[in-house]
Formats: sequence, C-alpha cells, structure tokens
Amino acid sequence: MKAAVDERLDGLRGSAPRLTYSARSLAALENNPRCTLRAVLDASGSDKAAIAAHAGFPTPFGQSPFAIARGNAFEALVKANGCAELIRVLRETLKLTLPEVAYQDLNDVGGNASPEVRCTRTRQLLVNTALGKFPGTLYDHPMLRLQVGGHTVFLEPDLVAFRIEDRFHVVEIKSFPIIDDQADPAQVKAATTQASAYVIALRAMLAEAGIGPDAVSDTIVLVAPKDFTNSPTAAFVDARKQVATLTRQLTRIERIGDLVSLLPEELTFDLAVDEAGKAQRPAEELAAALDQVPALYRPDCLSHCEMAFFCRSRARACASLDVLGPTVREQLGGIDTATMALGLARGELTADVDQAEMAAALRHAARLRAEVLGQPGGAGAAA
Amino acid sequence: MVWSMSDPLDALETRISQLRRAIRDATATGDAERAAELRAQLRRAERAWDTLVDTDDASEETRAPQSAPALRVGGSMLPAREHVHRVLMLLGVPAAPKLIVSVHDAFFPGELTSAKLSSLRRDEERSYRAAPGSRPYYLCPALAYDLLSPVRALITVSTWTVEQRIIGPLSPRVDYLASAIRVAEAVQAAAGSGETGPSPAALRLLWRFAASIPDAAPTGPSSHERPVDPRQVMDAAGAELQVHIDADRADRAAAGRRAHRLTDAQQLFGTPLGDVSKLEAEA
Amino acid sequence: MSKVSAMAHLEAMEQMRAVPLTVFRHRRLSIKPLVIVPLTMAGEAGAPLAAMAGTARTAPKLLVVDQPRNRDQRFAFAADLGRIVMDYINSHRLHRRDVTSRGDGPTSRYSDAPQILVPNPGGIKVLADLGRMCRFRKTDGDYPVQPVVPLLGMWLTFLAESAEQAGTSMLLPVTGMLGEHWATGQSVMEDQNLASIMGWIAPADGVSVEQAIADAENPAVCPPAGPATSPEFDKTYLAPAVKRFDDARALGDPTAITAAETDLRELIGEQIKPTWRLMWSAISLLRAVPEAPRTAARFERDLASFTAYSDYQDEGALPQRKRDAAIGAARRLSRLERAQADFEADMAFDDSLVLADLRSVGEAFAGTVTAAETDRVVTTAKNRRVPRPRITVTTDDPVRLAPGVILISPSMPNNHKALIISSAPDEESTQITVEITGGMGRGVVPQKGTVPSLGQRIAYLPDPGWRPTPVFPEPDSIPWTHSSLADEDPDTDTDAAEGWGDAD
Ligand code: SF4
Repeated sequence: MKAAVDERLDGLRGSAPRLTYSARSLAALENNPRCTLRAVLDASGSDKAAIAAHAGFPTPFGQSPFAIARGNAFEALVKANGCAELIRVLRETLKLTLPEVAYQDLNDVGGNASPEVRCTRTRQLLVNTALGKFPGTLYDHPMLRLQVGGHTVFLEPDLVAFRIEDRFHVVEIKSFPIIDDQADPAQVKAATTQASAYVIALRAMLAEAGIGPDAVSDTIVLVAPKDFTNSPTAAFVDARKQVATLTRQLTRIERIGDLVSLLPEELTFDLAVDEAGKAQRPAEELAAALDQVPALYRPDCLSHCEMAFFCRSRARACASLDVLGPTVREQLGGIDTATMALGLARGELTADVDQAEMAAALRHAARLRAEVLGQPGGAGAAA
Repeated sequence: MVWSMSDPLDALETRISQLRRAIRDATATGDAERAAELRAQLRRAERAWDTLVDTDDASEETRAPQSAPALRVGGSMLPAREHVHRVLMLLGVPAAPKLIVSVHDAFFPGELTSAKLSSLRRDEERSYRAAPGSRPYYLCPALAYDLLSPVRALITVSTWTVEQRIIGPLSPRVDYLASAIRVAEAVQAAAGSGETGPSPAALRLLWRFAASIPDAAPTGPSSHERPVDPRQVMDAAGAELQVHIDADRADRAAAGRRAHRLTDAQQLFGTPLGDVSKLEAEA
Repeated sequence: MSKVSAMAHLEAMEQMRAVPLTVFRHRRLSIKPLVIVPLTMAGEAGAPLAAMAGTARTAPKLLVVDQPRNRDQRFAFAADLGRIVMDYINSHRLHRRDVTSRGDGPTSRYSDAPQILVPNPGGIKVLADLGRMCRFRKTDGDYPVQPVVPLLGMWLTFLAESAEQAGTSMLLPVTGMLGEHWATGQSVMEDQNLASIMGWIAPADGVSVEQAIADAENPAVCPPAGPATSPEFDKTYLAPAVKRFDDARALGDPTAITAAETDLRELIGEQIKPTWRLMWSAISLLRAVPEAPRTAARFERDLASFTAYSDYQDEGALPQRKRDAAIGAARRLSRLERAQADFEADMAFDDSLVLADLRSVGEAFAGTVTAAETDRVVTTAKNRRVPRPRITVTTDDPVRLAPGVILISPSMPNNHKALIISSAPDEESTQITVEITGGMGRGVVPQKGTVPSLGQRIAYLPDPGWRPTPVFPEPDSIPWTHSSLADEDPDTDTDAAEGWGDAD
C-alpha cells in the first residue's frame, strides 16, 4: 500500500531529484495546512520554485546575503570561547548551575561531517545523557533524524541543552533583536515553529531508546541580540501549541495517499529537463497539470509558498474572493466569487435558500453605496 | 528571485531584458525621468555582467586588496607564526583564531589577521611532515578527547604536553577561564609598568571576559562607568575554575593515556577520520 | 470592514481599478509634509542603510551609510537625519496662539504641527527603532554622539507613539492613507506595497492596472519601497559595492574611497528615487480628495500634544522610558481604544460612506421622518418644562440599536441629541421612534430647524460619548514625564562597539 503511494508520488515529481524536507519547510506546513496542492508537491519532493518559474510565475523568495552573514556571525559570537556568552545567558534563563558547562561539538565526528555519522554520535550521547550515564550539558549542532512520509529527514538544531535532573531544551539562536524585552511576533513564531520540528525529532530519537517525551521540554529557549547590541539575551517561548500543530501536520503527510488517490493516474509535474538542463515541458501543459490539484490560495501564501504567484493568478482568473483576504471574506460567508457576490447584490442572480439572507444584506449594502455615491459630496457634508 | 539566486549570470541577463522592456515602456509613455533612471540601472547591470564574465582572469586582482593589508607589516617584523606563538604562550591554553587576534591586538604590536592564521595552519602540518622536528615548535590543532581527531577551530603549540592540547567536554570553559586569568594578569602587568598602561583594546578584552564570568564585573549603579578590576576577574575566574578543574583534568588525563599509543605526528596533528563504531562500543 | 466596504473591494476587482471607500480624506495633509523614505540593511535591526528626505519633490536629500555595520557611521547618519528632522520640527515651533484652556494645560499652542510621511508601516517601525536606538545615547563619555542624536531619538519616539493613536496626523504611512480612502481588488498585505496600491489607483499613462501591479512586485522594475531592499539587489549590487568601499578603506586609498562612495550613493539613489517620486504622486492624489470636516478638530489635539511635548523638551527632557510600567501601559491602552472609537465615530459622522458601513450592520440608520410630535413638552424632576419632541423614522436599514441608546445626527445642527424610545420592525422596513433631547436651544419652544420635520431625510448614529476636550495633556498619562534613567540597566555599548563576533 505504502509502496504504491510512493510510486505515485515519484510519478508526480517525475525525473527531477527528490527534495527533502528541512526544518524550514516543515515549519511552513503550519501555514495553510489544508492546501492539497502544496501537500502533494511537498510530499512528492517536487521543486516548487522551479515548477512555479517554469509555469510562468517565478516568485521572489530568497534571503539577503547580509541577513545570512549576520545570522552566522551572531551564532558564532554566541558560541565563541567555549560558548562563554551562551553559558552566561543560559545560567540566567535555564538556571544552569556553575558545574553545568560541558560542551560537545557535533558539527562533525572526528572530521567526518556526514549526517549519518553525526546522527549516530548524537543519539549515542543524548540517550546516555538522558539515562544519566553521561554528564553532558551543551550539544552544539546535534544531528537529528525524523521519518516524514516514509523518508528520512535530517534536522540540525543550533543547540540542545540538558539541565541536570531535568530535561533537554532546544535552543534557537536567531539574529533578530529582542528590544526592551520584545521581539517581532512573526519572527518569534517562525523560530518557534522551526524549533517544534526539533522537539518532535528529539523526542522521536529518544523514544527509540524507550525514553518518554517528557525528557524534552516543549518550552524552547530563544537566544537573540539584546536591543541594538551584539550581546545575546535569552527568553523562554512556549512551543506546546506549535508542537501539537506540527505533529498533526506530520500525521497528515502520512495519510498523503488519501489525497493522491483522488488525482488522475497519469498526472505529473515533470519539467521534462533535457540533457542541457533546460526544461522542455510546455508551460501551459504544466499549468494544466497543476490545475488538476485543488489549491487553497490566501494572501499570506505570498510570504510562505513558492507557488503563490501561480495560485494567485488562478484565484484572480476566477474572481475568487480569496484574493481579497480574510477581512473581506468574512463579510461574505458562503460566497466564493466576486461575480457571485455582485450578481446577488445587483439582483442579477437568484439566491438559493442558504444564500437568501446574505443576498438581502448584499442588496442592502449595494443600495447604500449607490445612494451615497449618487449624491456627490455625501450626506454628511451638510453638517 | 528564486531562479536567479542560483545563477547570478542568468539573473543579470533576465534583469537586463526586463530593464530593456521597462525602458521601452517608459519611453513609449514619455516618462523621460523614469527612462533615464532605468538606463542607469541597465548600465550598472551591464557592468555587473562584465565583471561576472571576466571573473576567471580578474579574480587575482580582485583578491589582492584583501590580503594586501595583512602583508604590510607595521611595527614588528615578526612572521605571523611568531605572533601566534607569543599569544598562545601568554594564554597557555588552546585558543580560537579570533581570540588570538584579539589578544594580539591588545598586547602586542604588529598586524595579525584571521585570514593569515588559516593559511598558517596548513603550512605547519606540511612543514612538520616534510622534516619532523626541524623547527623548535609547531602550531597544531587541539585534539578531541574522544577520537583524538583534530579540533581545527583551536590552535595549540607542539611543545605543550598532549594533555594540555586535548579538549574534553569541560575544557572549552576551563580554557576560557584560564585565558581570562592570563589576560587579567597581563593587564595588571601593563598597568604596573607605568608609561602608557594597558591599551584600550586590552581593557575592552578584559571587560568582555568579565561580562560572562559570575562576579567578575563590578556591580551596582553606574558600574559600567567603572573600569574592570583585573584582580576581581582573576578571583572570579579562579573560583569558577575550581568547580570544573578536577573533572576536566581527569578527562584529559584519560584521553592523554590513549594518545600516548599514537604516532608522534598523530599526537600533534590528530588521528585521521574517527572510527565511530569504536565510540559506540565504548559508550 | 462591513459589507458596504466589501462591496467596494468587489467593484474594484470587477473593474480592475481602485474605487473610493470614503467620501473624504480623514487625515490632515500638511501643506509642507516632511517625506522620509528609510532603507535598512537586511538582517539587522537598527542598521540604517539610507534615507531620502525632504519637504518638496524637487529637493530631496539622500543620506547613505557606506558600511551599515559600522556604528560610528550609523550615528553619523542619525546626526544627519537628525538635523533634517529637527530643522523641520523647529520650523513648527515659531508661532503660538492663545487657547481657552479648560484644565491647567498650556494657555497657548503652536499654530502648526509637523507631519512626517513614510511609505508604509515598516517605515514607521524603522523610525521607532531609530528613536529607541538614539534617545539614550550620551554626548560625552566613551562613545559620544552629536547632541542632535539623542534629541532626534526623543522626538522620533514621541512621533512613533503618537502614530499608534488613531486619528493623529504627525507621522503616517502613505499606503495607509491611500488604503483608507481607496478600495483595491487585492489584499491589505499587498496594499502595503506602495507601487502596487498606486498601480490600482493611478497607473502610469498607457499602463494597465494589471501591468502596473505586476511591475510593482518586480524589484527590477520597481525597487521595493523599503525598509528592506530586495535580496537580489543586495546580492548582485549592494554587497559588492559595500565590499569595494571596505577594501578602499582598508587600503587607505582616498581616490578609491571617494569612487566607492559615489558608486554606493548612485546605486542606492537608483533604488530609492522611484519610491520618492511615488510618494509625491501619492501625496498629490491625496490632496485632491476633500478633507473631512472633523479633521480640523482632531488636528487641534495634535497641536496640543505637540505643544505639550515641545514645552517639555524646552524644560530639558529626559528620554522616554524603555517600557511603560503596568499602570502606564493600561492607561495607554485605554487611551488608544478611546481614540479609536472617537475616530470611527468622527468618520461616520462626517462621511456618508463610512456611515453606510455602520448602517449596513445596523449600528446606525437613515430614513424618512414619517411621524412627528414636534410640540411635545415634559416637566423634569426639577420642575422645569422642557421641549421633548418625538419623531418616527422609517428606515430600510437592519437596525440593531436598542431603546435607551443616545444618538447624534450628521443631518442636524451640532449638539443635536436624541434617545431611542422604541423600534418596531415592519415587513422590509423598521420604524424607530426617537425623542429629541438636546440641541434645541434654551426655551420651551425649540429653535427653528432643530427638530426634524415630517418627510425629512435624516441619519442617526450612536453618540460615542465624544469629548471635545483634548485628552492631552493629562499629567500622569504622559509617558515621557515618567522617564527614569535610574531604573534602566546600564546600556553601555562597550560590548557592541567591537567584538569577537563582528561579521567579518
Ligand atoms: S501558494 Fe498555492 S500551493 Fe502554496 S499554499 Fe498557497 S494555495 Fe497552496
């Protein structure tokens, strides 16, 4: 059964190499989880950016080299000199005791940086730590492994800290500032979701050794620059909700077969790349293939998903209310398109029973607008 | 854009054609100001394209300015490895390039950059292998306590005992505290020697150490205006050092015993690729 | 948002063109606003990259930070921007006029207040961050800054705080002003792209809205209005240019430094100028929209708070505290909520389209007077005979206001007040009986024109308890008087000046 699903997914991806999930793409699952198109593209390991571009809708995504450099520099600073700065802030937040300074570098194992080797070493050290057999505290870039939809995903937290007689804490090091104890909520949320993937992976790894989920805290430690300085500060962030959400999304991926089985047999997003590396598939044909899968466009796709320009053009083409966003949508519950809404408002369409009330309200709203716009200056001007 | 982030040349070509389109449109609508600006952008894009296309032969020249300052030796004529050696002898513990550069700037004349340091490290091992023991000392990496593999981020001196060059789980902190004490001593010595006293860079360095050691920095109102007291740093670092030192020594000693079974070269530059299965067995 | 506004967005979508959402512009537009287009460096808060600023389209000043990670250059930038902003603010601190003061506030006010316009909400955030970064700086000690730096910090903080309050006009994002008056066929998020919303309202000649909004999202055609530059620009142009500058400095070659500086300025100029021009086009579009009558009254409050803060500065101000204490925060929140309610009521009163929004959800109504008992008189508890006419308004609006609600009316002279007595739905329409309680003069017989007559069209909305008295200054609700440096943690930047972790 499972194999059949995998075969279908491989077919959807076509000849392109499989892309694996990363902490980032797992975190992105939290946004718009009910979109089938994205679920199918992700689960099949398809390259969304390449597909969108070839279909004629390249979406600008990418990070500024300045942001990347700043992120790396800050992490290096925090970990420099035996994690001196990190130990300072973790002593403040996690209340690490003075003796808790042991540091294990898991960026490589004796010069070998392969994920498998690092993962083995990580498991060995962390399991022993959890069992009280190894007195470790700080684990720098441990390599975790998670099975997602039958495929291995390697995940690499910035740091995991273990407090004596307590449990593991995932530490996320981010370069956006915490100014006067406040950070940008959107960035905190993204960091937390990413950290939830680590919490889940860490728990899964320990579970294999018979260690319960309580060994990993679902409160993460966010380490970030304090105000406008380079000096780090730390804060606890409760990730319970996001761990639960992400766990739910992961189960959905396991059930991807249900979604795939509804798609036409021969459907594929293959770009038909030739020897020279050029995609040969006609763009319209690719777009038609994408159209076979239901998407659920919303404006915030623009900041989360590489398919956004494509999906938006589709939503626009059918005058879907989705392009206007939730504030407008909320006003028009039960109606999907502008054409329908305007038709009802103008009395050009007849409402069915469910829409009767909405239709009346829309007619009233249209009348109000017409009434005001019909009298230049507006009634209020008189006062 | 995504498709372009991967290949800058493709990106530029796409952009150039977009600009051309836009210029055409602006000219068509008679927006001269906009068109002029687009043309400027276009010129720039073309210039960037030229540089990319020339990358191969131009690379030597473009790199030159970077290394040039490092080559200019101001004040001191010592070669870089001597600078590093002097700093490591001051610290007495394995240290990362950044710290070495900071300590150098704080206490010694001459110029030393981290770029210079990384090339240095490769040369050392090569020179040792070519003619072992022909130099009085070599700069070598620290060794990981478990696999005795090189910890390339940390530099040590070959004349130190192998135990001194090993990094156990507690060693990063222990070495940090030890460095703090040595830096504090050096600051105190500079203050005592009259004349100029410690350099601003030295005081800043000491301040940074003090900031992440409990009780090492002055506390209370306007504490940040008072200078850090080297004595206080020594006492505070010493106090925390006592907490870790015995366990750390034991780890290093145990690893040191295993290291003595290695070849001389391995004892200095580490064993090749670690055998992970051995670790499994051991754990 | 109500169905009437939703309808406007639907029309915009259908026509592929922005349509008006309000009759009026509800924000004051100064005759001489200071436009600032700030750009920051990606990945680092408080690392300004550049700004273009000025009070006229043809006289922009371009400030560029050659190496944004260098703190000295950052504060040199702050000083340059500070001089521009302070010159502008000071030009509004010349003329005062007397006011009849109700409390013990100042007895005179400045006759004009500054207005800074930025492209989008991100621009406000940049100025707020810059304010936070600058206001605690010292002009002496280890890392001294020019005196204008902390001054700019305090003023920007004041302006950013004022911008959180609905209805104020001293610091505004232009996309917000446009979005308040025009409905587009796209989402709120996309409307925050200045080029995009402008594309809906006034695409360039010969360019369709479709093309204009597509261009707006293409950084090669329309560089982003900031605060961040496009990652692609950073990678292809900016990073190499900054590096050339660094190299030139490392070599100490003055010709190379000048060349690199010129290059960088030119490069950033190209990114910022399109936004600069769009800002001024947007301003002239907004100027063409008539200003709502009550904007003037709200401006009085801006003047009062500007004067109060200005006087406080003259007395030697302390920087605003980093965070409000609990009590202060609660007061502040209630002040913001009140301002929001007042602003919404003001808009509905002035603007029949905004009123229509309320009508569509039953929170206001308009209709025809179908019955009137104009000579009704009652005797009060104090044994005074007063006029209390009653009228019945028949409306098609789905009224949801209960008896007992106090009403005001934009169709009647000021001070008109009424009370809902009963509301009786009847088929499609509703009959609402109201009693007029105020605005009729002092006599037993109402003054002429103060009572609606039979057959008259009239609109009513709930009285929000609108206070004509400005809430400023209320001594203990003004955060800046609470500034206390004593409880700040030492904000030394010794650590930030240089360190082991500098990016290179
Ligand atoms: S952009 Fe399209 S594919 Fe991506 S989440 Fe949104 S609707 Fe789904």
